Amino acid sequence: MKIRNKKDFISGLLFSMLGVFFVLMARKYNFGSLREIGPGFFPIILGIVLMVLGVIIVFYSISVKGNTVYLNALHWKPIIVLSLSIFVFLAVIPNLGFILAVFSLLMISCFAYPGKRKMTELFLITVGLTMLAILVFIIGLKLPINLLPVFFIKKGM
Amino acid sequence: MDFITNLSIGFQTALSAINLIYGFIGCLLGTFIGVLPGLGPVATIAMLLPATYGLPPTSALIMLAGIYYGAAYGGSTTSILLNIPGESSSVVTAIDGYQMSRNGRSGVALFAAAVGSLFAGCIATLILAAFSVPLSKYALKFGPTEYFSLMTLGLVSAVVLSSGSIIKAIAMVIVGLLLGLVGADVNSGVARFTFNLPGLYDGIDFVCVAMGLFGFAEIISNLGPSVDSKGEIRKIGKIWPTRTDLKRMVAPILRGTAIGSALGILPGGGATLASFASYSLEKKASKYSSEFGKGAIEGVAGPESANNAASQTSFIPLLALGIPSNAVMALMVGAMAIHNIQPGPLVMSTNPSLYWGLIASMWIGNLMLVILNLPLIGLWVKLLKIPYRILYPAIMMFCVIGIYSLNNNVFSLYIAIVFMLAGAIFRWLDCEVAPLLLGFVLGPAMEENFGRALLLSRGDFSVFVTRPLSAILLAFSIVLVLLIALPTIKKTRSVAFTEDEK
Repeated sequence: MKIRNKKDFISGLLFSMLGVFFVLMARKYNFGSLREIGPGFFPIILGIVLMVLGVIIVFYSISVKGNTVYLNALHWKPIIVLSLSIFVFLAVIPNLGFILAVFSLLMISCFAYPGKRKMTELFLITVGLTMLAILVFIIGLKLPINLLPVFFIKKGM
Repeated sequence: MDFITNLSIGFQTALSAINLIYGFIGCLLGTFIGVLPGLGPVATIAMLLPATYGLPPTSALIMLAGIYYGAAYGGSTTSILLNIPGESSSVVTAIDGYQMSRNGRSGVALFAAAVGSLFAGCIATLILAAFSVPLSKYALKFGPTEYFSLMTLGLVSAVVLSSGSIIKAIAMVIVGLLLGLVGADVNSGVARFTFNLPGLYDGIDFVCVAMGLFGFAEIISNLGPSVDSKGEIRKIGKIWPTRTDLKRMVAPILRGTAIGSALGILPGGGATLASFASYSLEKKASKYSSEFGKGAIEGVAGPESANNAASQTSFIPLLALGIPSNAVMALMVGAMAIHNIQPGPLVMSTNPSLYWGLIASMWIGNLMLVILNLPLIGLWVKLLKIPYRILYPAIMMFCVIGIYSLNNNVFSLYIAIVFMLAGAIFRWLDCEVAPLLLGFVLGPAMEENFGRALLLSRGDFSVFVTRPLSAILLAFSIVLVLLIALPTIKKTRSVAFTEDEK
């Protein structure tokens, strides 16, 4: 068996799996009747349709003649780096404050760029954008978020 | 007479200082993102949704609408000067616009685009104002059966008019519908697909879905190997066209306006489709068809009028029926939901100043755009030099802080990360995400109307075909699907969209 369209093949599998997942989940909910549909009715019907569509897509991707479609590698690097930057932002902001959180978010997300970049530019981007963020969100929109780390503020009082 | 009173209410609202300011901000931002390749209206509006919490609803909607039609406007600038379309709706403008630039006629091309857009925008807004009243009066008679069929038609045509594989687009709509059902069921109160997470009890937050799928995932797909490769910017030169130029512009602008207005109303239609349709029409209709591809002014004036007209009239299904026809309109539903406004035929009577204010703001906005674009063109050209490696951290920053500020909510950002991953994978597999967003927005309403229709008919499934209006709507949906399966249309469609894929 030769897979003609790898993109469609994988999408079809994905859709079918999602369909199965939703149907299995929705089995717990009352299906109801046509006269009075229950919370399980719509999800189960949609899930089954999704499953069937997935199978049809898989079927087409291996059987019908047409252009061969290859699958390029997924760009994992930006996905991982950007997710990481958000996680760090979330970890930093409650105690260490807005400035450090935004700074680390920007610093980390800069590394998602595929090409090379100068350190001075990196520094200018992060510092400049952090200042912009303070201007827009804290001074402009007046978000109630600590600018500085919590222990600094306590010391000040 | 009513029409005049309504419009005067509208202009009173739109001309108030605060709405003028937000309208201007919207147009400015729209032009800005239109000029910047790699940042589209969907991502920008998603990014700004959190910021609109604090605004009065009318100002918020005026600003968001300005971003949408401003982007259609600004997208032409990069197409003409750089051969890089800022928006997908300006892809065809690049063909002849850039050639005009190479012949030293950038200024004239920009003028043609601006004048065409202004004219088309004004006419299309008039159509919007005139059509939405009777349409929404009619829509008030709709029962749940008709609404269900109408939403089906909306989703089907969105699928048919999307690029790429139709069957995959249908699957994406269904994934969206299912995701829309997450949370407590309206009728029974059963928490569905929540995994016992309290954050999911009220459903998945729309802002997170939009931001993840469009904001973050767009950055990821832009950070491919070919990022930051830019051409040389041509000199703008003389702006005023010659008399022959003017003569050659008139007919394409008129035809572009007509095509754009018509295609904009169609659910699933919109600016991109309209500009493609207008270009192919001009190429056939023009006396100078041999000049097409070598810098024909018709190839700029027509599509640019069409995309602006379409972005104006695509508000009709949203405002009159409450059905969003594309991803941006789905975001507008989200923006209205933030302010507890249920989009649909009732908005006109319950909230006339919002309704007519929004429409009137479009005229003012179109005027602002001409001023923003023609005399200030030099400024925008400078912006073109901002490389993406500086731009994307800024987008990240606004998105992340925006979501976090919703309610200092950590969970929302986790959801956004999940949708970032999903968006990246869907893009990688060539599955379009816009149909998913439409399905997501319409999911709960579709289920509700479906259930109510069956309740009223006592479980008789045939109501959907025995009630005449519902039958017509469903018949339309089927015809659309059949049409697209015809080989000739399949062919033209693939031609029209392969250029879009870039």
